[in-house]
Amino acid sequence: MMDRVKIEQELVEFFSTKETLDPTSLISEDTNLIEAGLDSMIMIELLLFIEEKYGFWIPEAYLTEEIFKNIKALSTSIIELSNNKNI
Amino acid sequence: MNLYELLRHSTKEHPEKPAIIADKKITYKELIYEVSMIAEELHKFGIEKKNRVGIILSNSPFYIALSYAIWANGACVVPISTDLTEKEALDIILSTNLKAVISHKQLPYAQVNNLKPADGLFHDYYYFYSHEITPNHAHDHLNMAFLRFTSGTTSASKGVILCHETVLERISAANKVLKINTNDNIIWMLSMAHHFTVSIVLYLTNGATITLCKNHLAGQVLETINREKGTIIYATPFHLKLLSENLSSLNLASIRLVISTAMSLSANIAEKFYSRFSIPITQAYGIIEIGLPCINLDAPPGKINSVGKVLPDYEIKLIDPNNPHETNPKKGEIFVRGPGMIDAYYSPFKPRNLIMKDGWFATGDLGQFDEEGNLSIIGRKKDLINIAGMKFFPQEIESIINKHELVKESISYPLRHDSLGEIMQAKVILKETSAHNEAIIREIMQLCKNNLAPYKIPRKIEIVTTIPKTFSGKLKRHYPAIGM
Repeated sequence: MMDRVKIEQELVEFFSTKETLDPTSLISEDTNLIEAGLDSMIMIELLLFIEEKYGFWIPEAYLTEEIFKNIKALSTSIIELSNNKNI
Repeated sequence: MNLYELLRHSTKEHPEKPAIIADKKITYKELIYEVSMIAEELHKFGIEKKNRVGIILSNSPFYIALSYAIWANGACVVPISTDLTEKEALDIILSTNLKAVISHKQLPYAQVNNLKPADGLFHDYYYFYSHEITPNHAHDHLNMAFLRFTSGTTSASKGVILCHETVLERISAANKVLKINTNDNIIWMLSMAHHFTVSIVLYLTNGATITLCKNHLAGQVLETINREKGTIIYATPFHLKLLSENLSSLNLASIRLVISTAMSLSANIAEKFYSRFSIPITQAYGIIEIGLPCINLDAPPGKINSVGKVLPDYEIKLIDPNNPHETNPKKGEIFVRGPGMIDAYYSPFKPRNLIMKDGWFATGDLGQFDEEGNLSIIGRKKDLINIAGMKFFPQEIESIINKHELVKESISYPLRHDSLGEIMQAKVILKETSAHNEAIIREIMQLCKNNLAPYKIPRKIEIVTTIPKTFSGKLKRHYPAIGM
């Protein structure tokens, strides 16, 4: 069973190292990642991070504004997709 | 001549036309005004003709205006990707003897290396300048516009110098087939640190509009295209895959051309995109030393893997490396000749006439022509790796891994990846066998994370006892087939 709190902490840590994201605000579970400046390169790094950490590649069809609304939404999607790895 | 003058000409022709659409529309008149303000500020900070100025910024209208402002002062743009580590960026700053750097973040080592922070028009960014730069007269005779490293770092790559006249030749040759004009609105998704000449400069020189999407998620891009009536998409296969997977009913009715560049396009992505939008993707073959010699404008679905026919101003020949005297081999290394070729490599300095024999540039890519003259890229001779359009040499990874005190030697190599093209792995030989391989692998991985841009970091490191070598003792490298 995936630990949501742990996933969110790991994602906060991941995004906190991305220097092209808005440096004026601390990254938290509620940060809107799109508004913070999520670009293609960070998205690719995130997909690689998720693949390495949680064992699957998020299908491109799932990469919508909804999933990046904040880290809570992203962690929910990771848990749902991980439970359904026939994607 | 100067590329800034070409923008001024476009502005005279179409002052009220949008040049850039981002958070707001910026007309050509507004853009040239912004350029002149920044140019004046740069001049106040001592930027002069022949200086080299680094840019470490994400895509934005300011990036474009800043580049033209640097040219307005007769100086040269040195793009430094924001993905690079501090060490990688500093290597470029020092080896290219930059007069100034405009960066999105602090450069902690800058003061140690004689770059001082300053204020002014750049209040949203950090500006560093150097009072003293070491003169380097090798390049004095060149009218330098760009100095770009083929992999974004200096290690195992050479700085490509492009002069203003060269860029103009390049964009003129490309536009004979692309026909960019004032009715065009290009939806831009690439990194400006890696793509600027036969793109941004081409578009603004021909009075087109460039739209910078708020983000590159498919929904946002499609909404933008429909709202702004985009006519051309210029993106990597990764972006096009995102679009092809979009489940909305939005279409690409206003689009006349979809160009895929930076990495090879898989048949899977091309077919899915065509199925979704009924528009074929046009693959383009471009190399920083050459420009854009091939574009697959015919692009019928049956020729997905092809980069198309050679543009009218260019010549391409194939040379079989195993039989170099054979004329017209079926497959071979791609050699290109034409306008807008590299002016020189920066360091060690090597001018055009010494880089290319009789004007022919050896690309290091392997290709073949079909019976209709369409070129396909089937492999590579050189070591360059390409991950989602980010290019670098495996030696950059190996030089970091080999710094670990227990490592004797290493090899890094790419594996196919459906979405990114390739990802890296590495094999390592230790100086002595160890019972702590897992811990050593973790240390090596941390070393990579501390010193390499994220996309270069090997996804897996394996400790082995042998690494294949060639007869001459070089590491034997294998690459996955391209164009699958």
